[in-house]
Amino acid sequence: MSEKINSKELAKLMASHLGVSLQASNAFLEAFQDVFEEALLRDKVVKINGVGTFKLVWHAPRKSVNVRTGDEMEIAGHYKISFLPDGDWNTKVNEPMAHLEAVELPGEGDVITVPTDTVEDIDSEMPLEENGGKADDYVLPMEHLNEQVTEVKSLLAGIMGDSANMTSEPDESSEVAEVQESIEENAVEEDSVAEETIEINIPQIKEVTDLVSEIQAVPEVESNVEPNQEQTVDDVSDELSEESEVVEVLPEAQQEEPVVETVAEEQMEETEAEDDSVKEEPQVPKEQDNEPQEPTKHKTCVWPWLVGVLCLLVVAGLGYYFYNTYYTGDNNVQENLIAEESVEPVDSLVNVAEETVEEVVYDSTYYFPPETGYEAYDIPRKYTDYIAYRTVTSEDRLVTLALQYYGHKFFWVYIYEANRDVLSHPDKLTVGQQLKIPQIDTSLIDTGNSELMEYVKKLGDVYVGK
Amino acid sequence: MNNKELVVALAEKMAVTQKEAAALLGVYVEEAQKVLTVEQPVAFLNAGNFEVKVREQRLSVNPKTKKRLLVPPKMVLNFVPTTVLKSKIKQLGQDE
Repeated sequence: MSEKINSKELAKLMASHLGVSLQASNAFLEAFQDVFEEALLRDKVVKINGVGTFKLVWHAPRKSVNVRTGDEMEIAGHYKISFLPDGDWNTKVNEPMAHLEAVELPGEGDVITVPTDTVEDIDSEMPLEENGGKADDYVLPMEHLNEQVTEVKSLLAGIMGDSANMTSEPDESSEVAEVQESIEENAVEEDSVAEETIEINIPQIKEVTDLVSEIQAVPEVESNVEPNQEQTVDDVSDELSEESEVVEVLPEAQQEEPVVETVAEEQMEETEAEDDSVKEEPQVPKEQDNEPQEPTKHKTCVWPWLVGVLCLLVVAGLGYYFYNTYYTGDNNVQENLIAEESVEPVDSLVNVAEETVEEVVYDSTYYFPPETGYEAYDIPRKYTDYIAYRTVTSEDRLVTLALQYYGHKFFWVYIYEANRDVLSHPDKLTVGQQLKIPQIDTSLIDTGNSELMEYVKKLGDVYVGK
Repeated sequence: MNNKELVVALAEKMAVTQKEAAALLGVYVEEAQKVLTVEQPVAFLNAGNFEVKVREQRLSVNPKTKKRLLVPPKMVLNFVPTTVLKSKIKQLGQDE
């Protein structure tokens, strides 16, 4: 609310607009002022097209209490002014945000997915320039974690059955952290021992899965999570030191969960072992610092489980934190290393990415798989005629342009397709950029056609990368 | 008083035709709409100011389906009368 436009300035603007003298527009304003006030006080309502309706509302007298003295008093009846803006002006005012629409959020159960979703939604709704670089750095670890979370959750849900409901959410997430931690440890271990560990692990898994199937037959369900977590890490550390001992620990009935988790870990180890072997290099020293603490704790704190669990949670959190910082921080270093060592898979990945980008530039239309039923609209579109050329301003979004030129925000996909050569992503408009607004056949911008609307919405989701 | 009556009254007061008065009013509204932004309130005569208020985004829950909706932020036009006008209005008695 810094600079207010007062009536004088408005009079100047009017004068220059009409090409008349300042006196003339001032005279108009004076007359307007008189007429308005007179009319308002007399008729109690004044309607001005394009502005709105001013209305005087009667507030009936009411009883109240004097706050200071506590005496009863009566507030006299009086008029108050109310203003109802013209619909036209209201939409105009809201134009910069007109393209936003309500987003349905997933239920409260998904603690981990909810925050990331909202962040993404806000990003896509308000694609500000600052959002560009930072987010990309954190995407990889988060995806990494989310994948693991879903994997671990499905495993737990499958085996624990009813007891999954009894486990509170924080416990689950801490389990996840724990598992993550142990994965890291194992990955580190495998770096040093490389192929040997993998070879040893494979027979172990077979034995363990056999045992799991046996134990599953036992109807007893564990509701006590914390000791089991302890057990898990114990298992892991046992594994690390004496790799064949897992089988010995198993036969007890209490081992239901640990077994499951170790299975999960080992499965993930196997898949990740080779991919991670390059990435995990920088964290080796840190993880080794953490490792020695766990066995000692196990020996000294056999009775007070709670203390042990708390310590382990802290260690797990620290481990994950260092893992993240190393992972994101040393990206460049790792890339350099990779480049020097010329590791084949990563190089080929980069090449593939570049190639697909090039392909996308020339292929202006996305094709849905045939079973989705969008064949009628999934036709190649060629943009030859343009109704406008637009220089991007800081307030422009593809959706606002679509709203302006085609009458509905969903049709931004056409503008994006026509400008694929200059736009890398629908959210990444730069100020000053020249955009071509293509001429679109009226059948393709028919807002009454619900199938078409669904199609362009889906197409938009694909382009945004949801 | 509706818009038509306003134009008639304006034309009478300024001694111009109704057409001219309507055109002037149109230009005034157009200019006011043009300059009004979030940072820039616009004075409306001596009666008050037009301001833009931003309604923050909010979470709403459909009581029936329990679905949670993130309602996006919105900008609305707001009129703040001057104290002079307010006191004038307050002095009016009920005359119904």
